Amino acid sequence: MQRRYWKGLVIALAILALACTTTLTGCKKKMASDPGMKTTGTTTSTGIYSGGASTTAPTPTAGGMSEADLAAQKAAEAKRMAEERARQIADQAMARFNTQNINFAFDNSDLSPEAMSILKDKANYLRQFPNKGVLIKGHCDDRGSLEYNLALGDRRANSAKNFLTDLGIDARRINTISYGEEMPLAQGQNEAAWAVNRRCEFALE
Amino acid sequence: MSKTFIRTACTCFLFLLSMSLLAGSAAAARYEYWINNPFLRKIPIAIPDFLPQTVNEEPRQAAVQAREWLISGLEFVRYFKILPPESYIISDGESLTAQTINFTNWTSIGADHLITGGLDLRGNVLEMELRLFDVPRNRLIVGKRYKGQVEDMRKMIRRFCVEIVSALTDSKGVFGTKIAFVSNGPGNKEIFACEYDGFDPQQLTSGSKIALSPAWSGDGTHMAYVSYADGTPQIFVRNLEQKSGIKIAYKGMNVTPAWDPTRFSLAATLSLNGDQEIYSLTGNGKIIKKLTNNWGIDVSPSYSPDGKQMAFVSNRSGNPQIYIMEMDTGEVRRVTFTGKYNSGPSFSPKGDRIAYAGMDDGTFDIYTVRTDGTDVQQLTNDPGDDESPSWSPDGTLIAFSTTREGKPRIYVMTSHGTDQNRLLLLDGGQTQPAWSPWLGDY
Repeated sequence: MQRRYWKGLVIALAILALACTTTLTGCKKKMASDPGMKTTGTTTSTGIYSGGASTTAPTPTAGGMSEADLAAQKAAEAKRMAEERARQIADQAMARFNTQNINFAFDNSDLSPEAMSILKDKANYLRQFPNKGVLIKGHCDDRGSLEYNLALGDRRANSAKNFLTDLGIDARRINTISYGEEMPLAQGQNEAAWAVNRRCEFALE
Repeated sequence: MSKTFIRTACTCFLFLLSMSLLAGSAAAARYEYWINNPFLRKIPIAIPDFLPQTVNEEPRQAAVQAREWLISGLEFVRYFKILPPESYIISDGESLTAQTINFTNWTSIGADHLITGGLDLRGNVLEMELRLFDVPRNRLIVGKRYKGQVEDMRKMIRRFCVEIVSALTDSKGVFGTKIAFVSNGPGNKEIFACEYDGFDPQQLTSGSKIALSPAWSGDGTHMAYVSYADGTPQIFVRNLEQKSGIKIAYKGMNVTPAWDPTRFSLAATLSLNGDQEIYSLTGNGKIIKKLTNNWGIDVSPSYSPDGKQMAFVSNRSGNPQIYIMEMDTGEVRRVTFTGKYNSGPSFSPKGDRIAYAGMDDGTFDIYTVRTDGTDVQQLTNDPGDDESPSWSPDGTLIAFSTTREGKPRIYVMTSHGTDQNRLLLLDGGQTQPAWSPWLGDY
């Protein structure tokens, strides 16, 4: 449930972002048409580009700005945008890392193909941010014995840990804890709730 | 920690004296057969109203309360039947002693035994005389006089219950025991303990975040339990009298402690290397030995009363089943073969049977089985989950947790599954009952 929610959110954000950029560029094109023609009459692409700058600062009216200043401003802005985008991507990756759980079958700590692909994604992140560690929390559904489930949760957390270390992540960066059946995500006595509760959660630290 | 334990420690201060009124020298009737076969019949006892020595309101109320506690105590052990007072035929002048009692009337209503009680309350000082009679033989079995503060009335009753059970059976019964359990009433799971019959529940731990799996040491002086107070699951071993304690905090998890009843030593599941194995540890948490060696889950140890065997849960066969280990050779044999999920073993105090929770049709019920794997008996059968069986130290009763009411509750039944009743009603849900050994006169 949680996972589907995040997937939906990410897709919605992507569509929104796409929509924004298209409308913006459309807007830029229109505004750029005048000054672009007036000044140098370079290619449309440059025209658009300079127009982009003209939207951020009212250059034509302000007058006295040199070509060099303009270029520097443009470069700074581009850099800022790039950084922003990188930060957004990193934030999204971190959010995904912290919220995307892996799930298990009843009385089982084996990793499914889906769990493995999620773990590969997490390994990539950990390689990208070598100063971060992760706490893996193993959980169970509330069927079965409470004591056995403590061990099963421990086993699930260790399955995930072992997979990450097999992918080259230093074991010292990974801590595990079992909560057994003590912290269910979903309430209810049905397979949908149980399936959500049989999980490992991940927390960057 | 709890006031109860402080109170326990201070009992020597109370001048609670008791003396035999008359030495019941002749051998009392022994009821082992009935106690161990609750389907047959219960021991019929008549308990007429207690007689206050003065007619004031307070002694009269005390007499009513004392008799109620005696009846509820005897009913709790589930092998006595208290005959209904409507049937009693009490002759004129009948009083507390054998000389005044018309035994024929008590025989005619089917009473094997008769208990008389008299008390006097002056200010805060309570004196109580209690006598148990053998009705068919027309004679006194045991008589006691108790003197103490009025607050000690329950203790006096409990002491006399011990006298009754000691006279009629080969054991001291359950009156000097307590039951520890987990309750999430405080908002998170903490350890509690109450008297054998659910009276006076006290919270023993706080700030645990999650507390689980209480376990009494063989002599009742220490309690081990699992706590997440420091973040990860660790085993806390607490001296109940001195209120001191140590933590067992190896890397990985430290769970499911169980005491060797013969030594200051316990078994617990640790996951030092990512594999869950049972280790034996000193009472101070030092590893003595790795007991299991199997790539899989080994958990929930329970020692036999002589400490020579240990039952535990392992998934080495593919799903959780009960196994027994011989402690001297390390040899392991499987005990449960029916069902795909058997857990929570508890060795009977006689060492002949294991109680456990087995899953059938998706829910757990309590079973017992002989240690050789034969004679499986199903004790509970209801739509809820019945789990975590724990034997009373005399082997006649089993406490367990059940979700039959919705929220998890502690229930008690005979070791044959009869007379299933709720132990106590508390806020939140209660799980994982652990019956103490004989604690003496708390």
